Amino acid sequence: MVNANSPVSASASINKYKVKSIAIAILPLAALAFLFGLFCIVVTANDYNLELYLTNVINRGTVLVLVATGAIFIYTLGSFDISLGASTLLCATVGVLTYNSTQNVFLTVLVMFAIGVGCSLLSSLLASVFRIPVFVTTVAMMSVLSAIASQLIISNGSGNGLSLPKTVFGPLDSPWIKIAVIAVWVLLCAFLFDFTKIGRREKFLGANPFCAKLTGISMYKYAIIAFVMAGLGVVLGAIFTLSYSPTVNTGTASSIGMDILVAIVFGGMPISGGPRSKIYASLIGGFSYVLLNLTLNIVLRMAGVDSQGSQGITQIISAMVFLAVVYVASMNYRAKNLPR
Amino acid sequence: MKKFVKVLVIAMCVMAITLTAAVSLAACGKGNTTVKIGVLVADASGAEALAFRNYYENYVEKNYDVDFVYSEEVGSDATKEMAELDKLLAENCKAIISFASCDRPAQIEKCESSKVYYAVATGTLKDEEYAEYKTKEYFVGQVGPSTFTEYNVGLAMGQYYKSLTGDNAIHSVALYVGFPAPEHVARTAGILTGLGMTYSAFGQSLSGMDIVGGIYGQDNGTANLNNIQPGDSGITVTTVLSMAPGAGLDEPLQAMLAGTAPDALLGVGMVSVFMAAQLNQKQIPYADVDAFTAANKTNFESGSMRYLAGKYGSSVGPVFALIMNALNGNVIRDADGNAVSLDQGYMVAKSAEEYATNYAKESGDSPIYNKEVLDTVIGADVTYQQIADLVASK
Amino acid sequence: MQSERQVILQIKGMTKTFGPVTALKDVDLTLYRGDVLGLIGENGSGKSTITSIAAGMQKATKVESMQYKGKDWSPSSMLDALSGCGEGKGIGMIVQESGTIAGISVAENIFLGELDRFRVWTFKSGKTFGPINKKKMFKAAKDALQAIGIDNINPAAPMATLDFQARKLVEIAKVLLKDPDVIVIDETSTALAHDGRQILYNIINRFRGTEKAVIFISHDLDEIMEVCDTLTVLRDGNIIRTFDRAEYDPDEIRKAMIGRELQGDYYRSDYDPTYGEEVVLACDNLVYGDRLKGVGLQLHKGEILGIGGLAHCGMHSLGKVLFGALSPQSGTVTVTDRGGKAIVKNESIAMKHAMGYVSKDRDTESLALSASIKDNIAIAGMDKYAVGKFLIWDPLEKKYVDEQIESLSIKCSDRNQAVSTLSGGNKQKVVFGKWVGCGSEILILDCPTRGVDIGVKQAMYQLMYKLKQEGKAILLISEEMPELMGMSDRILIMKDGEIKKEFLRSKDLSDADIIGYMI
Repeated sequence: MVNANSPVSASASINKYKVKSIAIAILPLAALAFLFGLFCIVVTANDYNLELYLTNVINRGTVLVLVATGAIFIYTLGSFDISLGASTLLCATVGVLTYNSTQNVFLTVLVMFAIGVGCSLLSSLLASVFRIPVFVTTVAMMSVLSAIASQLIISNGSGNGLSLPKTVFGPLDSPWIKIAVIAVWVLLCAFLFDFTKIGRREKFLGANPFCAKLTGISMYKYAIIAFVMAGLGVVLGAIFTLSYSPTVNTGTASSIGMDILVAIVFGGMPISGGPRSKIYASLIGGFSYVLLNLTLNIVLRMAGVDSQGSQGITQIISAMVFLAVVYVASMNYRAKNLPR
Repeated sequence: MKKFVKVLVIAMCVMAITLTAAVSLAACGKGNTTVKIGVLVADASGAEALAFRNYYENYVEKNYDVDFVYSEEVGSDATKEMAELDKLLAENCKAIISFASCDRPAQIEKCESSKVYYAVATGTLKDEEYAEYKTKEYFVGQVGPSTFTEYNVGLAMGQYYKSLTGDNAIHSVALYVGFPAPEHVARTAGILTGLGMTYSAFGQSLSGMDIVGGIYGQDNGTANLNNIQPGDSGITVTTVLSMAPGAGLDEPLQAMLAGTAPDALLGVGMVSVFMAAQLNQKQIPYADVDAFTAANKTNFESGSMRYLAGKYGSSVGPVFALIMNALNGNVIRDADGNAVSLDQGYMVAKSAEEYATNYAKESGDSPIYNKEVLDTVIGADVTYQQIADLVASK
Repeated sequence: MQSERQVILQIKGMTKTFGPVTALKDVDLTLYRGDVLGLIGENGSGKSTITSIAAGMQKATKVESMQYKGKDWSPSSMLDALSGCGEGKGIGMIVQESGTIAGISVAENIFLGELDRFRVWTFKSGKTFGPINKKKMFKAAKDALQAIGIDNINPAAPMATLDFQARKLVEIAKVLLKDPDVIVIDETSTALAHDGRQILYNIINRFRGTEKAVIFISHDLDEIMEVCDTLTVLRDGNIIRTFDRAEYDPDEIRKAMIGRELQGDYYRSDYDPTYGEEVVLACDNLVYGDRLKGVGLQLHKGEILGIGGLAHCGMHSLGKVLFGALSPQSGTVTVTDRGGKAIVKNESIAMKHAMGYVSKDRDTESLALSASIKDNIAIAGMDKYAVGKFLIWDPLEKKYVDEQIESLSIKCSDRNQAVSTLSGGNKQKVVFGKWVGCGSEILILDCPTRGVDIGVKQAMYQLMYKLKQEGKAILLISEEMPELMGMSDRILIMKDGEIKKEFLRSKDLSDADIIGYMI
């Protein structure tokens, strides 16, 4: 404790306040644990195959978590990238085309890196050149990228999509490899985010870009870094999309952009970015989101709602949970920000 | 702090209720020994999809000891398709009937490695895919219209409109060519050929099934109005509407409705979903490839639908029979020992009366493939020929 | 004597807590019609809190009774309070920091929430519809501004294009348009230069002795004693004492405010205008729009160079141009440090050459309010505690931040406390901690003591002096003459974007000598 002479001493309420802050901080993790427990109960109570279901959770969560972890860097700036799903689709599409015409895995990965990072950089550079908010350019990019990807899929594939031999990325389709890659990627991002000057500056930019500018932090330099990180997440996401399903269709990864937003909020990431941003929000939130959806889907079907209905109700409940999470998180924030 | 406690308490209550409900419901589900068949669906809301579902859940389930577990709709996303298939497998489904076609080879391989029987309904694999997978142990087969059948459906529609004379004669048509999917392109080629038209692609004038390759190779799976060459029938195509990615249906549709109406609109599928209301209102006659449903009955009787080549809910009966036999230990193979591949046609109605007659054949209580019919092809001694004969007879 | 006067606002037993901090403890306050009541106290004493509750900005945690014009008073919002909870002539508040919206026009700000009255068409019921008649709205806004004596603000101008003073004046016009019976003026005069303050004082005088009343909050003891009829001193959420004009005694008031005698010098005590010969920051022929018209100056090592003038004289723009935050149309800024000479083209170059900048607009430009004290202080000083060039090790960062908190005596519960919860003075200390901690050799301080109480002010002046003695160079931009005269080695007076006069530090220098060159 530093200078503990608070403006007005209130040690008792400090404790309550701290307990509340800690409770809010660990709430996402507690929610994940709760959802995990509930999921296991529901699956085993139905005599479903828990091992297969858990593998399903990992399969569903991997791409979301990988892309979302990179995207945290953009969200930290208080910005928003809705084009990440389209980037993932384009990256995977071009990857398939490259491999099919060269049969060279190394070159395929290289091209995917160029596309993933390139799309991201283009978003940030467009924002920089035209001096418009980053999220505006990403909305435009989403349309452009998905149109390009669709065109490539339609003109180069059969009506069903564009396929890659399963042998190319198929070997990566193992839960343990996915867990390992997620761990390495999240740790790498966490290191950059929490233990380097880059992370500190990204967070500060999110907190107040004007003040950051007057502290010598270049918005555009750090926006580019953030987009590069998001681009790397996109590349990883595209590789693991192809490892799980070697066919890309026009609808591949289409929901990723919005899923990321919901997932990281579930994980405790403030929607306005800034210093309270957390890398692990993508990990916790991504899997919480998947577990919530699957659990609700099972429970609703058991209650007699058909799969289509349960899909709709699940979305509504997810939206309500999303709002509740934002409300609880903002309660803490508002309490800290009332005028003095 | 009070608010925080309030929110926490509410959240905990909601969670506790969910948990209790889940566990109690789960307990109710225990001890159920009914065989579970997973149904993988790309679309869950179209008339055709609903008709199939109605047949499985409200007729077959009542007459056989099976439970159909439906996936969420997977749309055109192979990753979601695979995730939903995985989910069905995790829920201990012993067989999969697939209505999803994003990546069928991946589905077959997954079911093969999971030792779960698998069949393709309403549609068929590409020839090279069938050749690759026909000997797989758990691939039971496919029952649905082949690409050639799809072409013929379009051809019959085109020929019918070309043959109309007198007051009914057609001089201008609009085409709805759907998605860049194989069945839609084949139907489009059929319609154009039936109308006596050709298609310009790669500097050549293509006709018949060749049009399919031309539309795919040159125009990304969506027919281009400029490349349609009218024949000597005097019929011209005035508008081509499509759901190709990025094309946008609404604007050209509104333009068509605002301008001089074509004598008819010929569609390759789901016209009833996307534009039936507008066409009925403007009294533009239209033809479609869809399903014999109550909605289409209304379209025929009080709307302007004049032609329908349709499936019916119980079209998916034979594929169920194949799966049921396999689950009972009778994995039916054709004469060469390969997985079953049966071509299934469409019923056609050209008038409200004809529609009513066909529709009456397929009622909820007594579908075309009712229990009596199905029982003739479900059993330990049922052969390939019996099923093939039955499908051919309907 | 007071009992004979008519009470307009009466608060009894008000308590307010913010998380762990109790801002008001069972406070009573009475405001009489015709009175101009001053509230004074150190930052965090509860002045803004009590008035903001009366003005509907927030709710009390507990209150025994709050009555306005003899009726229970519990406004749900500032608009509600301004409208007298629907009965008209309520309580209006001009807030300490910006109370306007940047993205819309001046007129739209003034008529925010009541734009319907300018719609083109009217139903028989009186309800309006259709597009806004902008001409009519601009005219009404112009009238509202003129009613308080402002005629140089264009009602159609986007709010963001106005400087801090102009924004404040628009806010005043907006509040007065509702014709409130009570206005609360919270630290507003510190945002205003001489001309702006005259407008404000005129308004206060219009309220004085009528059926209305004013609550005036300021840290400027001289100003508050001159303006107010009675003076209530708050400290640590308690009301310490109320002085009538006859009882005014600066020393007594200060003592009541800080709970002790003010020890040591307030400004620096010497009148020695010497500084180093080495020029550390220089600019030549700087042109920036109509704000700077060929400004040139030199700042030396160990010098406090004061820049004074009216709000629009260009001195605030000068500070930003010198720090590289604004690019001049012509002219260059050159910084010299151990690493040699460099042209300051942006903030990053400035920082690399050990420059620091404290903005006048503290909450927007100098602090990230949602961030913690740690985040704000640490961000500029990472080179000081980074491991290698790249890595941040949390314990080293915490140590660095704690050192700044300790040395500047920042009052906080811990380093993770959000800056938004700090009082104005402590916020400014955080800003100082950010720039002093990272070892800035050249500090550009734009109104560094704005909205800061005398205790903190004194600490800051002493810090500036200490920095000077350590050889640091300080460019002090200020609208307060005593501050400039009390601290500067040299004073440059600006007017209309040009430097008009230079004064050297002298015991004999007076306000009158300087003001002539400003106006």
